[in-house]
Amino acid sequence: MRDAGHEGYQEMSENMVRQLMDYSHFALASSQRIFLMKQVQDMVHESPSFPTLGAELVGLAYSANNPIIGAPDNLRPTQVDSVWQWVLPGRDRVALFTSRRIRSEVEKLIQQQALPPGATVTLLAPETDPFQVGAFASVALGDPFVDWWLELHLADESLFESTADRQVVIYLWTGALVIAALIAFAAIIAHYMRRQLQLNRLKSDLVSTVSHELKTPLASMRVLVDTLLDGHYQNGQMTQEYLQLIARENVRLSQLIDNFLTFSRLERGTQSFAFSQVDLTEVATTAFEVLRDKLEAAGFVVETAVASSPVLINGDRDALITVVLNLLDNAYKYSDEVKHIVLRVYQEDNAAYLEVEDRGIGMAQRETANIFERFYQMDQQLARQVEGCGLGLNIVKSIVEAHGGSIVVDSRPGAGSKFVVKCPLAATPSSKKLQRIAG
Amino acid sequence: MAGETILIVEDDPTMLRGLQDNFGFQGYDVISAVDGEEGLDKALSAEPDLIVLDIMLPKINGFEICRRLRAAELTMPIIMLTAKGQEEDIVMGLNLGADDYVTKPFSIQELLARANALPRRRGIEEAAV
Repeated sequence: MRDAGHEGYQEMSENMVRQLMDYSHFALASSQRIFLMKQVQDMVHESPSFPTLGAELVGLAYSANNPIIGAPDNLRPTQVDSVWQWVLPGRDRVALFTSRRIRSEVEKLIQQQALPPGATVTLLAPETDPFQVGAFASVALGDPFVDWWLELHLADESLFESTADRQVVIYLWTGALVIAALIAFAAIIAHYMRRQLQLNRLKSDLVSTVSHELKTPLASMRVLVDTLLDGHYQNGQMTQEYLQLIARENVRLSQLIDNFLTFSRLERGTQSFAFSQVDLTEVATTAFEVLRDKLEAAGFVVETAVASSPVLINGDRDALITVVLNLLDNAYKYSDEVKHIVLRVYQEDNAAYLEVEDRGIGMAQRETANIFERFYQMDQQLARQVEGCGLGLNIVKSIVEAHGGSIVVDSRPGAGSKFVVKCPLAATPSSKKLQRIAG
Repeated sequence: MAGETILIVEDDPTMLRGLQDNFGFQGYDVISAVDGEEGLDKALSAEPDLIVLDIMLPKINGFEICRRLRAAELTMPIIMLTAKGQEEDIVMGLNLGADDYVTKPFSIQELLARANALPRRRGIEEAAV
């Protein structure tokens, strides 16, 4: 086949080279074009160079790694100036990009291209830049980027003349850049998609966790009620026992719903606290009384070391009770063999302290950094260790911070955890006055 | 169902109590476990005739228990309890060797009916072979 001397062969190969570099009239799939370019290079004696081959290869590699993205066929300008939309295929979601964003991404990509020294390329978005004087060549990006142009500037116009016929080379450079611009688009969209997918996963995790947590007590109640209705228990004592279990599940369900609602209100910033002077010792005792039965039934020993005189802070009594309930509940959930909880309230150095300490499973240092994050527990996915949805401690932290306080945890694996809430004491009469002036 | 042993693996004490009582009324010998590790141990050592298995369990989840039992060539019927009605969970459970499932909250009559049907179905299959 290789016969460089043959005139007909020479003509055919030149024709082939011309066609392969003609992007506007000779439509080919990227993989076909690459194949043909390589074949021609292989067969022709003086191997022609295809300046776009590099860009084609990059484009092909990219689309192979991102099969769902491909070329942004669905990208269209919107009715709003300078805003573009990209409709995700088969989905009811639309990605929006501003022209500025698109431009900066494409420019970033252009800068990464190996341009010959002295050559610069600028991207012109519609209505953003006037055409610059002195561009060596400019090329339209074409559909869907109507009115977008790439401009090639040369410090020294003789740069290309020495190497080849100028028109062809310029054309090829800009052709390569059009491909590069499309790749940049695919990259933006891929990035956007990843974020969307992560967000969606988080949302569906929340929905399934919430529904699991709500369904568990509901399912138990249904089994017990069905059993009673089936008339298996004729004797009053067993019936009584079942009713008590049902009542307990009912309370658990209410607590869960309260927590979800509190979380949702905190999240939307609509939780309003009713601040008044509150005695933290009374808050702690009340919360403990609520959980006393549950804790004692599970075999817990709860030690209360609460100051004998009131520890007064400015706060919302109900919210603070939620704090103590959630901390006690946390200690309950994460205790294994040793069921021992210490609840402390005291004042020290002009601050009020509330501590809940357990001798449970504890956690490693790196975990203590994350436990106040919402849904933290969710990382464990199906290997669920305990009931709950990972909202409790996040709620505690939000409430404590709304009170101008802070919460820290001291924990070691296997040794237990100690949560310490620190809040400013209620203002004394003199500082209260100052506060009123400041407020 | 007299004489048949059932293992119930369920971490929620109230649910466990309800299930124990009901399978007891049916004449099953009931053994139970409150986490995945204990559940797997008891399944391997007692080789019950039927297992009712929650998916969300402490230590080892229900899917994993199911997989390990089948890997150990234990063929007793397994019914999964799932609080998630999601199709992929159910498909995953069945692929790992579960025989049936009910979605929480479920009717105890339905669970009992499914449980009673399973050993019979297995018996028919074995007789046919």
